[in-house]
Amino acid sequence: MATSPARTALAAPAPSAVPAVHRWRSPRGRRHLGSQLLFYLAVAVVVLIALFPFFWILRTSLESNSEFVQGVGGANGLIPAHLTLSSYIDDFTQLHFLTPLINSAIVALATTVVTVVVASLAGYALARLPIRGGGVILTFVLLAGFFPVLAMVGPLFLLYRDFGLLDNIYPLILTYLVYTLPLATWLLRNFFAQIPKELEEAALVDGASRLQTLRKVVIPVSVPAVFTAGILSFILAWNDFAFALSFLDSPSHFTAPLAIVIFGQSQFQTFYNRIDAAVVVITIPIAILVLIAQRRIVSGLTAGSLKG
Amino acid sequence: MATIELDHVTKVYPNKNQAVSDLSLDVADGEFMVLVGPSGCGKTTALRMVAGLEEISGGTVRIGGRVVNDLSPKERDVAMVFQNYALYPHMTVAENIGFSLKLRHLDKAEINRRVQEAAQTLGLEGMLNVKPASLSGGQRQRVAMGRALVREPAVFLMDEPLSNLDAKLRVQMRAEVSRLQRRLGVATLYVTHDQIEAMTMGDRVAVLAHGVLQQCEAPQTLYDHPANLFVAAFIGSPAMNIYQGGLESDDGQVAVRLGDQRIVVPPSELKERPALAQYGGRQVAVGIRPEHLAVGHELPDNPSVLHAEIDLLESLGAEVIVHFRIKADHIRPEGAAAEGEDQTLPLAIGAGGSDKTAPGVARVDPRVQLKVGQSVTLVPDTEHLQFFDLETGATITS
Repeated sequence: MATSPARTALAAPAPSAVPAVHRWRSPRGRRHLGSQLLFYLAVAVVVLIALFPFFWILRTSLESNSEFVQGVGGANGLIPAHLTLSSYIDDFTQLHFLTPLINSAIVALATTVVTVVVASLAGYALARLPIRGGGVILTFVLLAGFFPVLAMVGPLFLLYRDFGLLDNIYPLILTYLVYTLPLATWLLRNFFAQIPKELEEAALVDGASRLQTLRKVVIPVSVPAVFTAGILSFILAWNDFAFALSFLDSPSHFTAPLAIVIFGQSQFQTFYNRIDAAVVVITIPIAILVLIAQRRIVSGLTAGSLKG
Repeated sequence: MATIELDHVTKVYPNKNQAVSDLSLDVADGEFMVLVGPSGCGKTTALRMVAGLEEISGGTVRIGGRVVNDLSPKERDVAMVFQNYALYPHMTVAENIGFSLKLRHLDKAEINRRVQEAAQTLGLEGMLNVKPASLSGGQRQRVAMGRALVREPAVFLMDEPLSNLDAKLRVQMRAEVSRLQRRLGVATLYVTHDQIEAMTMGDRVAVLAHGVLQQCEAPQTLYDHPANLFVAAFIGSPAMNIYQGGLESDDGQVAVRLGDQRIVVPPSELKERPALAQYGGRQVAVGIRPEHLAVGHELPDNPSVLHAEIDLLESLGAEVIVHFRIKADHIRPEGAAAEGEDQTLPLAIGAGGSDKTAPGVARVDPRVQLKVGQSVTLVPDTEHLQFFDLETGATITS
């Protein structure tokens, strides 16, 4: 631009700069800055409160037995001088933590797979097929998902005892499905219902059967919701304590959360460092899962509220 | 290659809403049939019944002579293009186009060949590995077309495939779709609410209103000889001017009175519409198309003129659309209120005065000097007057 600066200034008296300065100096601007500071402070406090227990678990898990005994209650400081993996090693060698981990993995993965498959079919049927009383079915499905866990334990215990299913990890899968299926069905139904009908109709005209339409069009389009349903199911099954405690008896059948409880127990002392090491271990798969699927989970959880 | 026959087809929804009533329609092999009508007239329902996406409540649908009433869409061998394209968002363009072939377990090389061929036909070669999300509206539309034509189906069904495109692209795709259809020679049922699309694309046009077929003819026949008031008002842009007038017959001469104006019906019209004689002394609907009105002077040998006041002028370059008001009783049949951006409807500016005036439209040569507010004499080409029964809305013919 070859125009002289003076002429430009005359022609346009810097419309953008003036209000900017004005805003910066106004009391309203200062209040804005103050409220922003307050906001970040509040965020920091919340994050600290949320993460401190995790930090403490990690810290304790890295102490050796002897150090832990000396420094009960955090006497070794926020970060102890000697960090060691000995409690992790103890967990896997002396306490055979691998067995309950495998049990948990079997139960959680099986629950997840069955949930995703069955809930997809059920959700699709409820979303699309002309089912008489579909709304009522959906309400009941949702109600079942919120049934109190402890109210289920007693009746199920009696039932499993009569069928000889106690102290066996496989009936646990059935139990978890009682909770994962309703939630997943509801979630997927709502997602499916939002997929444009024409998409499925296009597939039908293209020569797909209903099941092919579900498998090749609806499910791939619903990846976020399927992921969300899968991860929620996995977490529920992986974290369960109440049912495992009630139905399992021999340590070789324990799931991980149940096994952890007996880890710390010695005759005179509870070794929280061993418990915490195991807690860190069982948290890892969940953390990885959530991190991998973070973006998808978020879009899946919000998909129900916003029309895509 | 096949025909489509709808034989007294009816659709009643569970809520007793009758979407299509007793629709009979034959689409010949290779024919481009357009189903047109205002929204909610049942045209899409009719199309969906042919596709197998909607149950048929009554009557028979045949494709290639075979009754398909109880067949699934898969078994009917139809290809359909949807209004919103309905492309599979998780598949690439090539996968979208080839999806139907894959479902039929064709081998990979064959699928590839046919997808390439379809892509070439539609100018999609460079985009085969792209997902639909990154395509423009026109490109998506082409993919949707590609998905239909790669199948080499018995019939094509298209549900307002161009309505989501902008005006310019729509005009371009209109020609492209017509050309493609003619080249492939596959019977096509095409649904649209846009009468211009219907007129320009169809070999024949079926006009539907309230689920009832009004008329099914070649576009020009539809335009020149509408079967009733609905078709007359619906087809044509700007729409036909329709007024209520009294028919007077006076020693062999038949005239129609519009306000204080008297238009003599020429003998040729009387000959073409012998039934007109029975309407002497009765009120009828008189229609005249905008292009059959000329700005001129009253001549001694032709007293049949209209005295109009110009309301609004719309210059289109090649012609000027003159909106005027005349002393007459206006009739606005429901077809006149058809949607569609390309339609120039008579504007009812300043309506409701003490004197009964009615709006009208004329297409005039731009060289004629006109001003808004000016009083002009309009000379109707009386050879092209249309007459309709006021009660039934049907054209008065024989």
